[in-house]
Amino acid sequence: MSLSPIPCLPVTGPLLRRLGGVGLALVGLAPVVLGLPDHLLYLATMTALLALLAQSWNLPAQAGLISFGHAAFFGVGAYASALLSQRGHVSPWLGLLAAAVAAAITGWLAARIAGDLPGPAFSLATLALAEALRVIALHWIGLTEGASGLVGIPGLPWPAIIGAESPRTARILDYCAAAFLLGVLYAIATWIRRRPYGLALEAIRQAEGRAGALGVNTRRVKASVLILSAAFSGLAGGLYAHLFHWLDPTSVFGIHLSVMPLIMAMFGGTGTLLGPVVGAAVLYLANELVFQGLAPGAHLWLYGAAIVLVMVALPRGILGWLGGWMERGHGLV
Amino acid sequence: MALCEVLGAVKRFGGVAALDGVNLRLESAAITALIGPNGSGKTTLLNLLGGQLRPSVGSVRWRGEDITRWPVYRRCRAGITRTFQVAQPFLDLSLLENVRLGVLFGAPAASRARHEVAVRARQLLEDLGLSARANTHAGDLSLGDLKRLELAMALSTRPSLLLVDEILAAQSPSSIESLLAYLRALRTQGLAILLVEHRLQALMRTADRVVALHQGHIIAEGVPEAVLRTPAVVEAYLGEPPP
Repeated sequence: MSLSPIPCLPVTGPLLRRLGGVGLALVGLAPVVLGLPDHLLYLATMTALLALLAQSWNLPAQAGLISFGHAAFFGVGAYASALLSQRGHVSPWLGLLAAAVAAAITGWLAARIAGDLPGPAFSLATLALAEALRVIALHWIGLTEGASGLVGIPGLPWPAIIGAESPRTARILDYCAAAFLLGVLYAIATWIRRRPYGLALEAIRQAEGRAGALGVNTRRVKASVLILSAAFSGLAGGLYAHLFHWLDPTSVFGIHLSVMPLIMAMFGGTGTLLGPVVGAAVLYLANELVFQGLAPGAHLWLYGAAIVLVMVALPRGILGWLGGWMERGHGLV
Repeated sequence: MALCEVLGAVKRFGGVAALDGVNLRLESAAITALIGPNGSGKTTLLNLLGGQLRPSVGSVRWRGEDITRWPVYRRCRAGITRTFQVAQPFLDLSLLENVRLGVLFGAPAASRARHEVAVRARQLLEDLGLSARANTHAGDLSLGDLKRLELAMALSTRPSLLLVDEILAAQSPSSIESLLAYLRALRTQGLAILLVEHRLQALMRTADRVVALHQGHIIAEGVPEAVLRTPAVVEAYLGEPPP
C-alpha cells in the first residue's frame, strides 16, 4: 500500500466547516462593496484567478494525483480563448467555453498518458507535458506568434446595459467573473466531497489497489477528476488572456504556473477545500503588498523564506493547523 | 457449469514459474481450502482470480465467460471479491466508510439506495464484532481487528465468490472459532469461498475440499483428510522423509 506523500485531512473545527462557503462568499463580495482603488481591485482579481487555479489543482490531489504541470491546462485555455476571439472573431464568452473544452481534452490526454503511472512518475509526466506545450507555443510561430506573444486580446464584452462602458465598472465585472468561477468550483468541490465520488477519490489516494478490488473504476475516476480540474484551469487561463489582453508562452505555460497552485494549496492546507483559496490569497497578497514594499529588489527571497518557515512550522498548512488547534479545545463554536 | 474456473494457468515472473499449469474449479456453496508451503503459488493464484495479475498462459472463466482480461473493479462488480494477506484498509477513513465504499461501488446497483447502504455497512461491522468501533479510523485497529475489517470490506460488495488470504493469522482462539463459523454460515447462504490458510487443523472442520499447491503445481486435491495424508503433501510441508 502506498500513501501519497501529502496527508489529506478533513477540515476540522466546526466553525471552518460551517462557514467555509459563506465566509468565502462574503470575502469575495468585499472588493465590490468596498469600492477598492484600481490597483487593489487588480490584486483581488489576480488573487481570485490564482485561487481558481489552486482550487482546481487540489481536485486530483485528493486522489493522490500530484500534478507538477497545471500550467499545461492554464496555457491551453489561455491560447484557445485568445486565438479564437482575436483571429476567429468569436465572442470571448464562447472563447472561454472553448478554453474549458480544450483544456479538458488536454486533461483527458494527460490521464491517458500518465494516469496509471505511480505518484512521482505522474508528477514528472505532467511537468513534461507543460514544458512540451510551452516549447510548441514558442516555436509554432504561425499560430502563436512565438515569443512575441499575442497582444491586443479583446476584453470580456460586458453588455452596455449594466454600465460597462465605464472602464471602472468593467474592471469590477471582470473581478466578479473570476470570483464567480471560483465560487462555482468551490461549490462543485464541496458537493463532490459529500458524494460517493468523493469517497472514491479519497480511497484511491490511500490505497488504489484496494479501491479497485472494492469495485471502484479507478482509471475512470482518476481521468474524470483530471478532466474536471483541467477544464477549470483552462477557464482560469482564458480569463487571464481576456483580463490582461496579452500573453506569451512563458506567461501562461511557465513553470511558475505549475508550481504556484501546488505551493498555494499545500500552504493553505492540503485536503481542505478552503486551503487552496486561503493559500493563494495569503501568499499572493503578502508578496504584492508586504514583501515587495519591504525589499523591492529581493521580495522573492522573502516569499521563499515565508513558504519554508510556514511549511516547517505547520506541515499541514494554515488550515490544517487551525483545524487541529480548534479540535484541541480552542474551538470558537 | 462451474461458478469459476482456472484453466491451464501459467504465471511466470522473469524465468520463474510461480504457477505452472494449474486447473481449478470453484462451485457455489462450497469452501475450498488452498494449502501449500510458502512460495508455492497460493497468493499468485488468488491474484489471477481477483484480477491483480494476468496469467502468462491460460484463462479464467466466470459463469462460463472468459474474464482473463477483465480489470479488477469489473470482476468485483461481477461478484469476485477478496481479502488481502497484508491488510489494506483505508487507514484515514472510519471503519464505516471503509465498508461503505464497497457497498457503494462494488455491490449490485439495487442495494445502493442511501439508507440501504448505511444498514448494510452497519450490519457487516456488527457481524464481525466491529460495530462498537464503527467511527474510529482503521489506522487505530489491532492486526486481528484489521483482518476482520478486511473480511467486512470484501463482503460489502455482495460477492458470489470470496477469496480469503490468511485471515486467521493474528486472531485469538475464540475469534478463530467465530470466524470459521461465520464462513460456514456464508457457505450456507450459497457463497463460494476459496481459503488460503496455514492452520490445517482449522481447515479439517471447515473446508469441503482441499487443494494442495507445491512449486506452482497442484499435487493433491480432494476431501481434507485424504489430501492431508497424501505422501506428496506431507513431504512438501515437512521435507523428505528420513531414509
